[in-house]
Amino acid sequence: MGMPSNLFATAFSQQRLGLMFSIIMVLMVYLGTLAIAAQAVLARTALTWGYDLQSRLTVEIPFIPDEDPLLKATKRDKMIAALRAMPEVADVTLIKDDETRRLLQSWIDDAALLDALPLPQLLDVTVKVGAALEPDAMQRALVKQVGEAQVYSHAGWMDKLFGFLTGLGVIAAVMLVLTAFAVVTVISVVCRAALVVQHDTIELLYFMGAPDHAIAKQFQKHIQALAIPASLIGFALAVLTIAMLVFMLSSLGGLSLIAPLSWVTVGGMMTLIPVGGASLAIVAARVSLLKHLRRLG
Amino acid sequence: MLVSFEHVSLRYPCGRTVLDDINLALMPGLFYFLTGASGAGKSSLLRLIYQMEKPSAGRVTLFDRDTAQLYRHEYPALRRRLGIVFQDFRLVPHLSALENAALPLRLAGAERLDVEQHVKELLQWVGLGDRLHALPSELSGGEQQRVSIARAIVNKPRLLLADEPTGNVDDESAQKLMHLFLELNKMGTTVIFATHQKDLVRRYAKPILRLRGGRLITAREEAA
Repeated sequence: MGMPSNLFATAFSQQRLGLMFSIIMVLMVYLGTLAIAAQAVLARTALTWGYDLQSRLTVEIPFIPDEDPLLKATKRDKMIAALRAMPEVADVTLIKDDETRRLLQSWIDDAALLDALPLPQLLDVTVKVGAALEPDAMQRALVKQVGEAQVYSHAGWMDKLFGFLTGLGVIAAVMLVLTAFAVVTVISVVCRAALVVQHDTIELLYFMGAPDHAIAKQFQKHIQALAIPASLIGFALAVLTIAMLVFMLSSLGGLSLIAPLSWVTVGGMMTLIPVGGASLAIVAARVSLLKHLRRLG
Repeated sequence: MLVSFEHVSLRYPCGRTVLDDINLALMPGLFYFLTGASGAGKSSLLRLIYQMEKPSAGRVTLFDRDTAQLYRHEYPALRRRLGIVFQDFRLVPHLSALENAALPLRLAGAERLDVEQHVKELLQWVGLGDRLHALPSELSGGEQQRVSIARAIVNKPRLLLADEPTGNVDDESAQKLMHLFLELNKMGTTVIFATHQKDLVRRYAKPILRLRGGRLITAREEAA
C-alpha cells in the first residue's frame, strides 16, 4: 500500500499547470506526428523518384513543318532501332502524340491551340542498371546514325529535386528532435513548478521517511494521467489533418506525385509519436523530479 | 545513547550563528523539555536531529550513528524511527484525519486493512474516534494537533520530537496534549518537547535543556 493517489492532486490544478502541460503536450504530439508522416512520405518519394528517373532519358525528335508522315515514321523507327542497338539501353518506349497532348492539357486547355502546337516525337529510354551512358555521346551517335535528335537526361534536375526533398525530410527530422527537446524542457519546468506548489507536503513526507523515488512516483503518476490523453488527442488531430491533406491532394489529382507507399508503414511510424511522446514525458518527469528533489531534500 | 551532540555549531551562510558549541547526551525513555525564547535555537536543534540541517561544526550522533557518515539514501530509514510534531500541525489539507494519520504507515508499505484498524484505534486513543473522516479545516487547533500526534506516533518511533506543539492551541487543549505526550513517554517513547511556555515546564518535574542565544545554559545561568 503506497501513498494516497490524491496526495499531490492539487499540484497540477493550481496555476492551471495541468491544463498548460496538456495543451503543450497535444501541440507537441500533433506537430511531431505531422513531422514524422512528412518525413516518411518525403523520404520514400525522393527514393522512388530518384531510382525511377535517374535511370531514364528522353529522346526528342524535333518537329519539322510539313514533314511527310511516312518519312516521319521511318525516322522514328530508325531512331528506336538505333537506341535498342546500344548496349547500355534496356528499353525504349514511344510516347504517343495523344499522351504528349494529355500531359500538356494541364497547362493548355484550349483544344485548338493544343492541336496547332508543333509537338516533337518523344522516346522514353530506360538505361540498364549500372550502365554509364553519357547523354551527349548518345546524342552525337543518334545524329550521326539517324538524324536530328535531342537527348535530355533527368539526372540534372532530379539531383536538385532529390536534394530539395532530402532537405525537407531533414527539416522534418530536426522538427521532431526539437519537439522532443521542447517536451523535455516543458516537463522540467512543470515538475519544478509542481514541486514548489507542494513544497510543504514534500517536506512533510521527508520528515516521515519518504525516499525520493516514492515522492517522484506520485508526481509521475499525475504526469502520466495528463500525458496519455493529451498524446492521444494530439495524435487524433494529426491523423485528421493528414486525412484532410490526402483528400485535398487526391481531389486536385496530385496524389500521384507522392510515391506509392504502404500507409500501414506510415501509420506505424506515426503511432510511435504518441507512444514515444507519452513515454518521453513520463521518463523526463521522473528524471527531472528526482533531480529537483535532490536539491530540496 | 539515543542522541548526542559534541561541540555542535550551526551557522548560516550569512554568518549568523544559530547554535554554538552544543554538548548534550539524551538517554532513552526520558522526557526532555527544550526551552528558550523565540529564536534561541530550539527548532534548529530539532532540525539537526531529524536531519534537515547539517552542523557547521561538531558531531551529531543519532541511534549510535554519526550522522555525518550517513548517505542520502539512509535518511528515510533513520527518519522513520522518529516522530515529529509541529506547532503548525502540517496536515495535508485535502486528506481526512484518518488519511493524514495513516501517511507514515502507508509510506512504509503496510497493508491497507492493518493501517485502517491501527490508525482508527490510535485516533480513538487521542480522542478523535468520531472525527476520522473530517478534513483538517473542519477540526479545531487542538484536534488538528492530536491528528498530528497520532501521525507522529503511528510508526511507534523511539524518539518523538515536538516543536512547540502547544503553541497554537488554548490552555485546556494544551493540557490534554501534554497528557498525551506524558502517556507516550510512560509507554517508553523518548520525548523532546520544545516550548517557550515556562509555566508549562514548571508544572512537570522533567529534565530541561535550556537554550539562550544558541547556547545551552544551566538553571543557575538562566536564573541570572
